[in-house]
Amino acid sequence: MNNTGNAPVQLTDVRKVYGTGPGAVDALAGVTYEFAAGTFTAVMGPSGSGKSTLLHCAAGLDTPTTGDVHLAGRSLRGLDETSLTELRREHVAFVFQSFNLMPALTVRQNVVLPMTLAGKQPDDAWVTEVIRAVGLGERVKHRPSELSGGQQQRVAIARALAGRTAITFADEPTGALDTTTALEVLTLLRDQSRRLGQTIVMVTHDPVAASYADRVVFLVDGRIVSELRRGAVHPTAEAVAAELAQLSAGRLSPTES
Amino acid sequence: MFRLAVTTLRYRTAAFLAIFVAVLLGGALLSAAGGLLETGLRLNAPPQRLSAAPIVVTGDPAYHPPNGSGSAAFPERHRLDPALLTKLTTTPGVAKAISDRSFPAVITSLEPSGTALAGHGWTSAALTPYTLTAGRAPRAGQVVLDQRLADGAKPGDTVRVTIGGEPRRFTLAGIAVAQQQVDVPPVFFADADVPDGLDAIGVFPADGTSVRELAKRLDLPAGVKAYTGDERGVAEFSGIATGLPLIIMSGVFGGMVAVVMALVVSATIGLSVRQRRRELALLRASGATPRQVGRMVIAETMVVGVIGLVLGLLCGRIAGTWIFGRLADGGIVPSQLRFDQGALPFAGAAVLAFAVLRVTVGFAAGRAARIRPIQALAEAAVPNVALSRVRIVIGLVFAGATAAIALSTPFMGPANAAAIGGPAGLTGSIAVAVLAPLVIQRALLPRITRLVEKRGTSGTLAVINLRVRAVQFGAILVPITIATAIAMGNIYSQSTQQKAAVHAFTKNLAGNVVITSTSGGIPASLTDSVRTMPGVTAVSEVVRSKGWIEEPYDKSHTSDAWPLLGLSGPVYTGKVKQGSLDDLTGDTVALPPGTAKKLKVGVGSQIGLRLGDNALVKVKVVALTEGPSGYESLLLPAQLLAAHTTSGLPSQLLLKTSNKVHPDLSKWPGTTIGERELLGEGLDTGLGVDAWIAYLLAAIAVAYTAIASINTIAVAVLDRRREFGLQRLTGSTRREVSRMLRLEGLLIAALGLVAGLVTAAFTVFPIALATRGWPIPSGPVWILLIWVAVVLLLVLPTTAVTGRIAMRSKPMDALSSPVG
Ligand SMILES: Nc1ncnc2c1ncn2[C@@H]1O[C@H](COP(=O)(O)OP(=O)(O)O)[C@@H](O)[C@H]1O
Ligand SMILES: [Mg+2]
Repeated sequence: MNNTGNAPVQLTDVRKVYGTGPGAVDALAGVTYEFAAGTFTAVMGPSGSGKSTLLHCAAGLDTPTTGDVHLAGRSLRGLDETSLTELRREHVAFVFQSFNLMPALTVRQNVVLPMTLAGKQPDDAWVTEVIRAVGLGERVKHRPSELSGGQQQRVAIARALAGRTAITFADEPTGALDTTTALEVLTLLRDQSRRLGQTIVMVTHDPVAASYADRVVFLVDGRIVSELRRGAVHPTAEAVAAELAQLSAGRLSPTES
Repeated sequence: MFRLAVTTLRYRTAAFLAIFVAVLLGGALLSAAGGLLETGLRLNAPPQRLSAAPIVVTGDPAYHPPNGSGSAAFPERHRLDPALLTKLTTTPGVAKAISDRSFPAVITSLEPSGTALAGHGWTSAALTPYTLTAGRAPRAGQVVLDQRLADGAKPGDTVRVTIGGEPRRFTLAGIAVAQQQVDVPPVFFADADVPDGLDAIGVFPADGTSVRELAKRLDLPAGVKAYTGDERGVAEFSGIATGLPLIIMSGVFGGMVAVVMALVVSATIGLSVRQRRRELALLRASGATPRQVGRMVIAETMVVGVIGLVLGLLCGRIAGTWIFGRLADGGIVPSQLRFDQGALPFAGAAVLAFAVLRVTVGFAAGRAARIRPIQALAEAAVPNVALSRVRIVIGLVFAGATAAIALSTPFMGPANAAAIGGPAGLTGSIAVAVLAPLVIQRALLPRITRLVEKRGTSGTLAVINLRVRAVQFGAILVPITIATAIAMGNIYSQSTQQKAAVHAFTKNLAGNVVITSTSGGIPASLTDSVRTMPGVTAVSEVVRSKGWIEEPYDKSHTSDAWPLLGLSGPVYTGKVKQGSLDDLTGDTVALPPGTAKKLKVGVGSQIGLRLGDNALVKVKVVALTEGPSGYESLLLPAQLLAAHTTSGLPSQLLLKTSNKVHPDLSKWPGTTIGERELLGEGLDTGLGVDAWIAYLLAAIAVAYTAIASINTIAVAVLDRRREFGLQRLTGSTRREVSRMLRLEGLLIAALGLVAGLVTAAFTVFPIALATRGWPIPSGPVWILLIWVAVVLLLVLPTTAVTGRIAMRSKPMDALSSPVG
């Protein structure tokens, strides 16, 4: 966390409280972190630890209760829905676990949807290349209901790439996929976005998925409790799993890390 | 964006079909209402029997109260002074003037036909014109028949014709045909056989004289007018005095259609937006601004709505003609009135329907625009009940208005009760539409939960579903509630008023036997013969008409006339406060004591009455008689009143008998004998128009419920494919899920019916209190039972069929379906 300067995503003491009074939940209990440019970061943690909330706050989909978020160099504080949308449209792409394609649109229409909404003319050659790169060159005219889960997720990745946005947020992108398909999708996500120099923030609870990232951030009870960084190689699945096991043990007998 | 909107259309068939049909129906009915309005404003009744005369002079069929406010139709034919004929004949520019007199004539020897006013003098045959095809013009004791009446008879044959209630024999002199369509085939008499009096004068301008100019120039007494063109029908057909009933009806009807259309459309879009939350949120997450989402919802709905509207306007002519036809069949408007539906009604309907649609869609789109992108990611897609404060306030305002109207109605008196109390049904429906989801969740569900939970798992599931889907179920409930409220509220307040009016009329008349006539009236010979019959203790002729008290001027009855009741025997049982009804002969009247007090007159005073044929008669007050509160009439001698009616005869005979009598009526063809109930028959309660509004509204209520509930149910059930899949995966059988759906359907139907009946009660009970003095409505129970059956038949089969479709796929596939 010693990075300074123009990290595309910066969180400063971000808190998110759901509800009020005695039933209130601190989904994020003060998170400060910078996602450095061009990195692929996995956010890990047990279920309910605040991973999705962190992703939503970082991407400007949700507003923190307190704290600041900078996205692509701009503070999100005080922006209304429309400005947030325009900012996201310009710089951010999303891949979610499921239900993230418009059922009425074809593969190609789904891929260019963010550009259509922004009123931009898609670069046809590039869109075709991206769709081919994710292996769906034969299926541009199909609708999501005619595709398998893995294929649908590839469409989502193609969409994230097609806009040439700087940052991609992914929430459990492999959660609904079998192991083999999940690995293909992860490889695709990593290799393709690296080619474009995109910054990726991926939420997952799967150590194997996390091992594709450059860095792994561990979240417990709304706090970042540790971080694994790539040295010469990626964090291995074993290392991630070991860290996770240790954290879970630590949570049972509370010791501050 | 627009393309995107259009692409989604075919994935939302059910919801868009509902909007499409609602707007189509709305457009058609609004242009029909516009047509009724235009017809009422123009009042064009092209003449038939009088069509040859370019100018027809006749009495203004509308009464204009002296203080100049409003107008009312004269209930009787308005007679002209015979001197006017001479005056018109000698007016410069007039080639000839021909008088016309219509009187009841019924042929009883041939195929019974001819109605009230088929008799005319042979001179008026030139007004059509009629030409002889056989025989010659009639002399005294002879008739000429329209060919349609002749029925094979030849000149020289004898025909029996009842005129003035008396059967008489005539020789058939000739047969004539019209050069023109004439709906009522006439019987022509020699001018010597025509009763006195003049109804109309046909004026033919001399060559070179302009019709318009001459019509304007004619010197006519007050209350007599010269009509030209299509307006001439006024002299021929009764009931064309004023377009007010049509104008009122078109206004109420059009307003109701617009409100119901708005409610159905907003409920449907609301439901569809709620169901697409995920998709719309996803669109937001993909970079759509709130405005873009709102615009998309507007665009896709307006595309469908405008197509529906255009088709609706195209059907507007059919709808208008059909409704007008029903009104004519029901005798609300004369069938000879021409239905005018020019460009304006369509333009008006288009603008109004479009505006209603656009505003409704705008509100719904605002809701869509507020959807946040993370809602695409939230796992549970159960909509929560969070009504905005504004909405609650609006709902409470309408609920308060409903209660206020209902509470004030009983104090309004029978005449105004319906006009005041009726809108309670509308405000109540709006309140229900606005507050339904909240009420379902907070008030109703906790109560029914306990009951239904006893039915085992499917019962519990049904209740849980109702609770979490309160908003969605609100959307299904609303059309059922509104339709029930409008249909039941209107029909039962109508039947209650009708019954109250008939009861009030007959209550004060003693007598157990009634004789009526279909051949124009009760002749004096019949009355005399009945009077001397053994067992008959009292006889009275009954004449009904309407009129006004002009001297001193009575402000209480202006556009709604006083009911006039003509009697000639001791049958009135109401309390006589002063004077005696024995003196009710000659030119006399009996007044209600309250009216006498207000007008500062008493027994012995002279007052001036404007009778139904526009005659002003001076009468002496001989008694003050009480009548049922709100339904008082003025009592007059039967003879005086009958002379001022169109037929000139009493319509009924009321008899008090000590034992069973079997009078021989064969001498008077067309007369029938019956019990007291006949007294109420043919009673003009002044409710005709209201009744028709009630039935029209009930009809559109049924139509809208059908579309709206079938569609909302289909949309709501199909949307739950995933949920059913999940339930089946977790162990429920297909039959259990079906049973749960059926229970839900029953609950919804029952809740909708109860809510609708409660809303209707806010109209019906106060009106019953105002008209009957007793808060229990009257009317046939079968209408309610049929309505319940209709609602159940709409809800249950739709639920069952869509449920089966929703469960057609395997549970696992349903779960992975992207449409949630
Ligand atoms: N909309 C919400 N309302 C209330 N509580 C929420 C909401 N969203 C998340 N939470 C709570 O916040 C905590 C963190 O949730 P989340 O970020 O979804 O965790 P994760 O993605 O790590 O499973 C959980 O305790 C969850 O119950
Ligand atoms: Mg999560």
